[in-house]
Amino acid sequence: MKKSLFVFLMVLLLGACSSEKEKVIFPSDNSSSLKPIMQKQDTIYGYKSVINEEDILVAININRFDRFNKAKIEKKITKQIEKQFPEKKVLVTGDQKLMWEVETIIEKKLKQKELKKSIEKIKLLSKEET
Amino acid sequence: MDQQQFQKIVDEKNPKVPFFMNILKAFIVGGIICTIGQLITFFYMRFFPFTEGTAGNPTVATLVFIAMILTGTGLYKKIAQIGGAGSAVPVTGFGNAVISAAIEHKSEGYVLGVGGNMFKLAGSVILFGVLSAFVVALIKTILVNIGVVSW
Amino acid sequence: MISSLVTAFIVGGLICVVGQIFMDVFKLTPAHTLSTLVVLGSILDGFGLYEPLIDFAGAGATVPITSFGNSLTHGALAEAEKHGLIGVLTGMFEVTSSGISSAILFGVIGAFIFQKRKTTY
Repeated sequence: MKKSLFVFLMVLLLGACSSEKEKVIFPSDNSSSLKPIMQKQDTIYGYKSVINEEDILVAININRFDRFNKAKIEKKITKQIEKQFPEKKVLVTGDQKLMWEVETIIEKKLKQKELKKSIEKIKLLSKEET
Repeated sequence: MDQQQFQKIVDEKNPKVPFFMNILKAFIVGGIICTIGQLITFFYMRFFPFTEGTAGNPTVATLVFIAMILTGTGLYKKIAQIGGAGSAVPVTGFGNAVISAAIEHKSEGYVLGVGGNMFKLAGSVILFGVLSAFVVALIKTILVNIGVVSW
Repeated sequence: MISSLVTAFIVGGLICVVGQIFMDVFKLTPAHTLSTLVVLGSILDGFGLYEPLIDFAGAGATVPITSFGNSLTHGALAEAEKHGLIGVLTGMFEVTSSGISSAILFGVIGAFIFQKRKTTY
């Protein structure tokens, strides 16, 4: 009984670790200089990014055991991107909620005005504290 | 009969506390409660504008609400018999202590009964929570001011 | 998502195991155990260790009573960071915990709805 439970938990754990990598940059045409930065991060297993004229939003999936350093990882990647894009406002987040919000933007393929509105909404959400 | 013999008899007569069984039960019951909490957190994040950082508060409130139902119907007592610390340590255990005391003393009226006895069991938790928060914040602020640590 | 549930299970379960050890090995009453855990959570936040734990385990760290000490200390420290020593005092009067206020609210509602049983605790 105990053994089977243990095996079950291990299978769950391993199954969760091998989830496939998801790397999306939206819109995809100006992704060239962001991609190499994200590619060399070894603490994340996926990212979804939205870019418009002013902002860069990057929602990252942090590896399970690197999540202890979530705040540090966010800061580090933000700095690297800011170096590459000094004229844009950069927001890097490991928050699941913001990841979902970014996914909806990509799914709906929002344009211009709506895109800007959603980005503002996400930025507001990320500033909220308990 | 000297002290040692007496102690030996006492040990024999007392029921053996099944140490590892208790720990395992606490682990499983506590784990399940926290997993339910995580599901509730996901629910609030999915359908309401809460982030990982802010979803904790509504989750705790919802769990205390569930604890209210379970306490009122007498089910939480049964969970506590199985789970031991596994049911006491999560915030539902704190809720159970407050709510059961409130229901218990309802007959004495809402001011003296409910209001006066609500925190009979849980009051020490609040006392030490606030007190230790004050002491820790004070020590850390002083240490920062004299430059030993940073924020 | 499943890995979050598993981590919440394991970390939350382990904190409860610590509580069980306090009860069984050190023979503390439940009230003593809970108070000790709250103080532990508060101290961990003083070292800046509890927030990373929440980032790691989610509800596994926010549901156990240790998070109560963490949230109180966190509020006091946030004020202290802004206003210095006086902030420790003013921060103490601002900190709240959803655990306490919801327990009070649902305690009164529970007393209103439910009838006394032989023992509920």
